[in-house]
Amino acid sequence: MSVATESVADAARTAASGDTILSVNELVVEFPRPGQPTDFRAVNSVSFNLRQGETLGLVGESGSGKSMTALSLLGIVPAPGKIIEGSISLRDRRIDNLPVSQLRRVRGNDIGMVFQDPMTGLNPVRNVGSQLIESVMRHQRVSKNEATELAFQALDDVGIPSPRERLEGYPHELSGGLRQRVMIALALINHPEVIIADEATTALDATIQAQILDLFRERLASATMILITHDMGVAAEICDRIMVMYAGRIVETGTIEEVLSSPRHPYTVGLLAAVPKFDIRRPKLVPIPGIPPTAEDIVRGCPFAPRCRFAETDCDQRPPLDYSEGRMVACWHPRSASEQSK
Amino acid sequence: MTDTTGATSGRVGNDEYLLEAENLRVTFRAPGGRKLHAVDEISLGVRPRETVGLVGESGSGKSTVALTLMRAHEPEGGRIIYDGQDITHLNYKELMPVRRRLQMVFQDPYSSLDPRWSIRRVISEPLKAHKFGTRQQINDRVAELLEQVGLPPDAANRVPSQFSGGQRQRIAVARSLALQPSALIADEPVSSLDVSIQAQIINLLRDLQDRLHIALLIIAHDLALVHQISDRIIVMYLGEPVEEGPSDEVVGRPQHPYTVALLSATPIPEAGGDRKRIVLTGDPPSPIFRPNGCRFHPRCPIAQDRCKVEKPPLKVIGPNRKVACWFAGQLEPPRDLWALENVPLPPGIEAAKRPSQNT
Repeated sequence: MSVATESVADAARTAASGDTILSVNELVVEFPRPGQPTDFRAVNSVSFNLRQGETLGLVGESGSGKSMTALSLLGIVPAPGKIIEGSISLRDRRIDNLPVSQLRRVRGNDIGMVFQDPMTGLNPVRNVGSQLIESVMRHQRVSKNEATELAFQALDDVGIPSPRERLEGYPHELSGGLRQRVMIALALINHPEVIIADEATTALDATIQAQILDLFRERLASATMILITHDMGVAAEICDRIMVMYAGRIVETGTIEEVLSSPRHPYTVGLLAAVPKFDIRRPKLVPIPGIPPTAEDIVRGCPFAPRCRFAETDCDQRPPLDYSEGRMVACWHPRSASEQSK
Repeated sequence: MTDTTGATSGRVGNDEYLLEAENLRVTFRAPGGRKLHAVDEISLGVRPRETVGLVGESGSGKSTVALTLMRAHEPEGGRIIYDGQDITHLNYKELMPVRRRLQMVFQDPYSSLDPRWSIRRVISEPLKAHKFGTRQQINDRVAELLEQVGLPPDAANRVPSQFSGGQRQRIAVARSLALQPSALIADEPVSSLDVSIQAQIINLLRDLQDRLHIALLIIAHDLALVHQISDRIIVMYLGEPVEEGPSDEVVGRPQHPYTVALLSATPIPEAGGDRKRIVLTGDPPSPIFRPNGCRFHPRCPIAQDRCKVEKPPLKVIGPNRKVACWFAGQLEPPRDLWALENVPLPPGIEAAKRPSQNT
């Protein structure tokens, strides 16, 4: 019954340390670049395992490939983009090559998704209840009445006040926070094994974001979840483990404590130094110079090298994501804990 | 008529301030003949060389304040004073000399720059509008401005689409500085930018202010960011100021429960973040149907009966320190910034006042 393939070192190591639910192996997503000899790699050899009950944070800036990785899991990479290499397995079952009819079962049944903008994720001309009921009846063998009851329960579970009345309401009648709660209810209603939340709190105000993060913390404490965010602070609030992405690649992974207290990759170090923290000493922010590579750029070697303070000549070779002092880092010159204070 | 703004006689407002709002009130017509109270009785002042941060969530009225100060909205009440001159009712022509000295940077550098215009044209437009000089003088000034914001001289010949978001925001800053303003209003200047780029723009604004001595009003939703850059902070809720004071004091010793909640809600990437969280229930109420009494009472964790009926005034509680709450200081803040090791306490804050030292 066990997986025989041991393509990546990571897979072998994590297999022992927990029940792997979702396994992504050397995933490559490409978009054609008209007029250029090579395609654009939005996701570049990404591998990771998601363990039972874990909240994994996928952190990166725009263009880092974090959302595209998530969309790949659901088989919804927007055309003309395509998965051209690698595999995605959900409990030993390949899901990257499924026909659409079977993928539909995966979406919602096995993997639930919460999108950034609840206004586009919900149908504006149908009431909240009918959207929840449709989802239930598509995935579960229940009567309309039972489905209605489940929809009511789902809204109640995500802390929506007077859920019975809300079933009749339309998305535009709800505030941003409540709409996002409906999105979460919709993602959870068929009890998927994995939940993906893509910038689920980004569009919300700070106090509303805190409410949704609280909801994640309380109701989804034991859920298996991938949280995609550009905000390291949000990841710090609810994630167990973090993967930092840059230019389509994973550059660093570790537990949230490890990454925050001793980041190894210069990009992670830079990202943390660039964020204002409440500190009455108000140290001047240290920006990362330059800009990330865009879809037009041809990246050779380490994609971060042009912006990196520690780049040396060997950085024109691509650094593999490998173990360094017990952590996975893709860097020829990772920072060690002793260098952090500088 | 050349320079009435600098006249010593007939000055109004507070002499200390360069840009000032006095009891500013802005309303909009809402469907059904109702009034939307966007900004209600806010007073603020920015001194020369000072940075004031206006913080609030969406719907708090912070952007309306900015646009009203720029005279893009007509206030229903109150006064706008620039350099001792009441500019609330100046007409277009009278406003021209003020506009030259009071500039604005907008949130979205994608929509605030004309995509068909060269950067030279973008930056020189205000120069031409104010008859800055000859073509050569204008070109020289454009080159100088590009250098000030850290862009190469050849950027002038390109169009906005050839630049990233951060670079576009630099261009917008260059345009705002073209006429050597003495005051700058920046409305969410970094919120549409990636994290690694935000710090570049924040530092740029700080450096420019150090060098050019402009008065800066920063409007943002991010309390950590505003704290980083501002000398003083004003916190707004539902169109009204609820707390104001020196940055370190507002963040380090928040008195209004809303400020405390906002501090608590700001996610900070730091290890061991086991801080107390205060999560507010519900959403901010509608500015059309505002709650009676304290506007914040329906969401306030420490609201009492009095808060439902009596509106707390914005009361002075110390030097430059104001708060509008009947029970100010009674909600304990989530973190004690002064408790950081080896940090000297600022004057006016006594060690004895530190709460929760023994926990």
